[in-house]
Amino acid sequence: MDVQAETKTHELVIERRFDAPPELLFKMWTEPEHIVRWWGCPMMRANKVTNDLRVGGGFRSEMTLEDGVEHTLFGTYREIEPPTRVSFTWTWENETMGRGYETLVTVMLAADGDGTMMTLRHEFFEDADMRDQHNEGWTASVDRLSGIVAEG
Amino acid sequence: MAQDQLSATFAALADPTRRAILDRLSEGEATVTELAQPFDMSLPAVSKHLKVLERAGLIRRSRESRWRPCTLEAQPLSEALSWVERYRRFWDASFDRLDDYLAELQKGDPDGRPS
Repeated sequence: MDVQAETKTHELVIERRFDAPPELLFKMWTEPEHIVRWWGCPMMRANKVTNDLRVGGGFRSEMTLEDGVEHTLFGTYREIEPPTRVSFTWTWENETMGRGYETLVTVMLAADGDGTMMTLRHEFFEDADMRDQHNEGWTASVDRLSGIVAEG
Repeated sequence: MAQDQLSATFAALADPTRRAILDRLSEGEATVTELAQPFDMSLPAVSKHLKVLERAGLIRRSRESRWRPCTLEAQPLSEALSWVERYRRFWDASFDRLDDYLAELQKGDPDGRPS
């Protein structure tokens, strides 16, 4: 199992290899019966997932943590290209904190021998403009800044 | 961290000129004229970018000095990074479980199709 991760200030990129074909990984990401088996933070006790798998369709995940606190996670599918790519918006909501930021999750799946190399990008954006600017890519300056901040 | 601060940080970072300015300031304080030098841009245009960075709390400008040098404020950037870290923990835990679940699903099924 390979784990590579890179942190920039605005996004999280995680690369990871799984011993399963892309078709199976795609099901893991898009079918509620599978999603409930693995999504969630370390504190998660139960997860109820519903979705409408089409571009513009929504999903909803109601998670109960070990301490009984409930978190809802919801979003809208932006891209669905089986078995290589799925992207969706992602917003948290709970009773005490209210609604969180809208973020964007993009999952890319590439066959790698008998397995799959998965790249997950989770990025912050406020609106379409900002997302597009993010897609232009970030300069090396931010990478260096991140390094400076991490050291400081 | 307040949501508005995080939004302001990311919005301020969503521009190549402003990121270049922060990069320059990470090497030490600089005046507006010095900051404008590498860009094909008027001083007022650079000042506009500096105002965005200042409002977001990413830089500080001296009030006393005639030249008003700018300095970098690292705290909001650091908070933006910790926001990213929360998501990393969520996904790392999820992918560990996914590994186990995939192994369970594929047991005795070489095609890897879930039953």
